[in-house]
Amino acid sequence: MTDVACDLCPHRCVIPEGAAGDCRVRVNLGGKLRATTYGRPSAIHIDPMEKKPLYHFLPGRPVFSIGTAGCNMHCRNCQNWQLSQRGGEEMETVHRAMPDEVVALARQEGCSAIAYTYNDPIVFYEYVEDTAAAARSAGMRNVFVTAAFINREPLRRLCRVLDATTTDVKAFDDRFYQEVCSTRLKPVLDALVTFREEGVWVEVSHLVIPTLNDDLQQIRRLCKWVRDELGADTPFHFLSFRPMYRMQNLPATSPQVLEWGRREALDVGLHHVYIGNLSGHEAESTYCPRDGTRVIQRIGFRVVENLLTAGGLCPTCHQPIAGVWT
Amino acid sequence: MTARRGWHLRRRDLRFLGVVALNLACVAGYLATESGAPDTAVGGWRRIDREALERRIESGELSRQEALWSRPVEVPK
Repeated sequence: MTDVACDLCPHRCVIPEGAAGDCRVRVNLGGKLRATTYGRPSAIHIDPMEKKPLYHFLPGRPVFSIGTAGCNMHCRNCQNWQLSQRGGEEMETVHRAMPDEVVALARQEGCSAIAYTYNDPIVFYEYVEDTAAAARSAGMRNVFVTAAFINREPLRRLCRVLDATTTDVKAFDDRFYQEVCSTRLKPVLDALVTFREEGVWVEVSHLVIPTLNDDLQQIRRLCKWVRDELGADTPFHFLSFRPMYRMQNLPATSPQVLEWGRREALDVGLHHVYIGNLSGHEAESTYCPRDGTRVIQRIGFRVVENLLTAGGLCPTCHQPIAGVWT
Repeated sequence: MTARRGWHLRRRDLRFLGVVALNLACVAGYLATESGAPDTAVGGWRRIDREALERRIESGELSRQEALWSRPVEVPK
């Protein structure tokens, strides 16, 4: 019998006949690797773009969002573990939606973009690629919400049909990646650089977990890396941890820690630093980095006011605000 | 009597030092193998309920779409 090697992600699983890769959904059947969740999403929703979170990409627009079973990460705090930590054959709900049908549905629902999200879309790579190509042909945009544990060549190819990514950097610490997520840090950083090189709009999210990755020195190092490798205009989102899945033993992140982190990020020189999961906080809004004008006001995932000019400029000092606004 | 007790203590001390040295060697060995770990894990896979998977593929609930980025690996006989 023939084993099959999967070169999609750095796990590089070698899969015997009848077994799945580490992600649970790429299966060796008869000596061929099968993408068992192709065209079979288990979650379909219409979300605000801000929920991804993407704050500098088509703000306030609804985005048609799909996810499947499986994931190549196994984070102990996963908030979508019922989806991500199961194989397709274990799911109660599986919809049938081929790429053209997803695009038609998205259009019917008034969405101008499709997000591949909830579980890590890396594991339904082929479905993303075909759907994103169909969406492109129909004049729609594609958003990739990921933890970016993917090999460089597959990512380069996929970037041709992607417009934006929210990439979650779990920690700036390889040991954290190994112990909490069963992966490594370096491929994630490499992937972020690839996104930038390929012209995909990048926003970085970072979930701050008490005692595990809330060290301000580590946060500072991460922000410096983002500034140097991706640019100071890269939006950076601090997210608040809530006890989940196999990490029920830690408390939620205190707002003060998120504010300290944000101060470090601004101090390092990042221009757009947000705090998510804290509805009503002033750090949900976008400010002009030159004169401090509030150019987009948000409450939760809702855009309350957008003062950007048609060209994406600050209305008072005409400073261009980095992003994809139309 | 005093000399014999002194010798006895020395032997116990040596045994204790031996245990400490063994522990240090274990810790050093562990650290050496950990720091040498590669950037990528190789060869992971999972057993699945193949019958359930085949059944759901046959019913159309799951797909048999061929995946990209894969290659056959011959298993040595």
